[in-house]
Amino acid sequence: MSFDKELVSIQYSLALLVGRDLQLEPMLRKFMPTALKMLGGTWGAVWLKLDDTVELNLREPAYTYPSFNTAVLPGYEDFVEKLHLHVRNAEHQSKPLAIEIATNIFYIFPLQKLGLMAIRRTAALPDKFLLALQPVIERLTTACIACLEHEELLRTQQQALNAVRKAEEANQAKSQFLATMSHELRTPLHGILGLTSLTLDTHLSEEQRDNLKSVKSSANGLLSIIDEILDMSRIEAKTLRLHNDKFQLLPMLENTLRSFAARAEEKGLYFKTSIDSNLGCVVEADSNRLKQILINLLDNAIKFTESGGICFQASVAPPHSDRASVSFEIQDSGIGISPASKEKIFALFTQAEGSHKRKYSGIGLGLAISAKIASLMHGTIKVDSVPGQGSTFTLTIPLNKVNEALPTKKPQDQKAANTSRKILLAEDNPVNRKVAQKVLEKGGHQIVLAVDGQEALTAWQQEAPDLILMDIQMPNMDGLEATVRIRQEEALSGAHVPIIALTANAQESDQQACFDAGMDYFIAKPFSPKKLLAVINDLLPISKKDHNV
Amino acid sequence: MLEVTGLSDEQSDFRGQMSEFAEHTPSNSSLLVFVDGASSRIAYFLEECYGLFGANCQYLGGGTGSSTNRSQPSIVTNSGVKKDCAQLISIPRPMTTSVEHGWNKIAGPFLVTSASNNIIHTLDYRPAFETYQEAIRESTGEDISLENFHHQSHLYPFGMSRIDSAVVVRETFKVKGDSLVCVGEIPENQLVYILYGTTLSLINASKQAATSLTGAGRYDKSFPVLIFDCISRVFFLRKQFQEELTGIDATLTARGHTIGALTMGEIACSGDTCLEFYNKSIVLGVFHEP
Repeated sequence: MSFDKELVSIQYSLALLVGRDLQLEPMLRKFMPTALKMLGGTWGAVWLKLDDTVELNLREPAYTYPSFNTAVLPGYEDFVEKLHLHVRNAEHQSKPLAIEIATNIFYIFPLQKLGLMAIRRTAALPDKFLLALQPVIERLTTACIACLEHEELLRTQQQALNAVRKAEEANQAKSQFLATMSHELRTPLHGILGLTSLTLDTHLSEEQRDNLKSVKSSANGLLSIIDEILDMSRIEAKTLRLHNDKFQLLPMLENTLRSFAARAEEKGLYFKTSIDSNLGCVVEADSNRLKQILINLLDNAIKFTESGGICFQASVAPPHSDRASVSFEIQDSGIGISPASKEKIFALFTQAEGSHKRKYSGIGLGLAISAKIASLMHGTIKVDSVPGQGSTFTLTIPLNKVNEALPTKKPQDQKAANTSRKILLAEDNPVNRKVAQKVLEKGGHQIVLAVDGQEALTAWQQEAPDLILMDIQMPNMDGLEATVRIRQEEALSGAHVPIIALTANAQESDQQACFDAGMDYFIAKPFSPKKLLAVINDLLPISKKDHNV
Repeated sequence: MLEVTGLSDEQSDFRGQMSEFAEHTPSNSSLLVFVDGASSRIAYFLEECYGLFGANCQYLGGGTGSSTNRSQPSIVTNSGVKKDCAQLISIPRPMTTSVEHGWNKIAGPFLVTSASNNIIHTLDYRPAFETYQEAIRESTGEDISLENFHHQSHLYPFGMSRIDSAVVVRETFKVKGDSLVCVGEIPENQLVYILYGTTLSLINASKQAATSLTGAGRYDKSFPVLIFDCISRVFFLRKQFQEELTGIDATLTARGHTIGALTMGEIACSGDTCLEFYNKSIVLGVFHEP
């Protein structure tokens, strides 16, 4: 075989060995040993400049075969010194350099401006052969660039993943903070609202009553803000879940609209309603969240309207379909929204009037939360507005009509409702303990007090209460552990005392933890005295029946 | 002494198994390397071995096994006779080695377009066996069939192209579908030739190996010469195999001072090339003073 043919064969074979991996080290590992065998070399190395601004570090090759540490090359220091002298020239040479050290010849091939490749042989290679290797070296240069770019891409991806992880951690920390803050704010608020309500039921002067009503109203305002912040946190954490139930739409609307009619009247505004008669049906949706959107839209309409009034219209299309689209239109004659502000009002923390001289209160979460909830319900909120003339907000939601009657609620067993029960109240906060105690006394119940889970457990064993109101966060033993222990002991006897969680931990996860521990009902603080008494009455007759069984 | 396991296993970490042994092996040591000749990743193992011990050691050895039952355990270790493993013995004394084979190119080059370890699937994008048959028919007029493959293929091994017209021989011993199974790996994109040898070329090659050894300048008569000679050369040379050995003896000045074995694949490297796995070759080695 002629020399030229052999040359082309080797060249071809070597070229195909290049770039068989996208990672630098494996790519060079697949190339170098076979290349050395073909070229009769005993050692090979690649030096790469990872940064244009720094000089090539000849003492630290990017890759060597055999390994650099164990194969200490005779005369390597001498080689590096000579290489230093040549390195600048090498970048511009078309022909490889040869450096002779003792019985070895090091051939240096420039990889353009990226670095160098060297192979060591014990015998010289003909010039023709060295030149024939140039296309292989060019190909190797391209492969090295591709590998470095790939590594950079992987690094960037890793950095992005790290950033996402850190953001998730930060988000988790924020959620934890919000949950803690919510608990810490709800606990004193519960005291304020509870004691204010109880005091309002006593004999007061007109001035005292007015003052206390203001206190109650302010506290309720603060509570709404906390609820909005919690909702926002759930939306950001993508943990806001809908809880569908079957309900009659018409009574829900009437109840909601009643209080706004009164508020409009107080402000001297008219309040007109028009509800499609086809809406007198049972639907399946998250009634609380639907109500939340309507309250927010109606609240805004009254807040931003100084004269004229509000028109509320509810319609359904198509009217007789099982899966209909229901539209709620709230039209006001208020200040209106400029076209520029229209684009921002559904963003978090935004009010159309965003300056420090704001006239209207609110933290700018309501519409953003409403829009998000509407979206979760597969619906939309649209706005039409003319500044100075008013706005029309339209909520459109698909609702499933249910062709069945809801079970009628049995009238409250009057005897049961009026019966005095022994209720164990486990609550560590003295103010909240006092509020609950007063509410229970008002309901005619007998109360056993406990200040932590351990005391609650002992009181349950000794006093055999009819029902337990259990706070969650308590010293020594928390409410969850106390509940678990009660349920474990009950498992032996088959008994079941109703336990109601009464807690300022208002997150959905907290609620789930209570049910997981074995509680029967969950009431978030601040609670309304009426609701607490109603729940107690609902649970007690059932539990008595269970006991008899 | 070190036993390296899982020679055919793609997941084996050879460097991990050898690194501690390498740390305790002084520079300028000789490594006697024995591998199970039926393993499928011998060349890769030797690449890792050279990658770790480097050019400051010299290597000599061969593949173990039976030519009639390739799957039977054949490596003698301290824990018994085993298969699919390698045995490394470090001797703190340098060695001079030489390698020759006597095979010449008769057809090619062919590009190995598909291969996995020691199996060639396609040559020049065509089924390997078909290409091999055609090339031999065109070059020699001889027909290689499935029936006569076992008796005839050892006459026509492959040669992997190296610079200076050199080749590393690969023996093909089995047809598997349209693929050819070799003793030792043939990497993809490797250029290969079909080789042919004569009694004379093989015997002359063995003499040349001895001449290279004695001419290396560091040949020390006080040490025995180690010989690892491929078993296939016995089948090829038949009665004349004795001539190969006497030829070596005659060339070596210390007559009778030779020991060795017939092997299934040969291993040698004394620092002027990378460590390679040879077939159908003869490798010689002799210790000398540091």
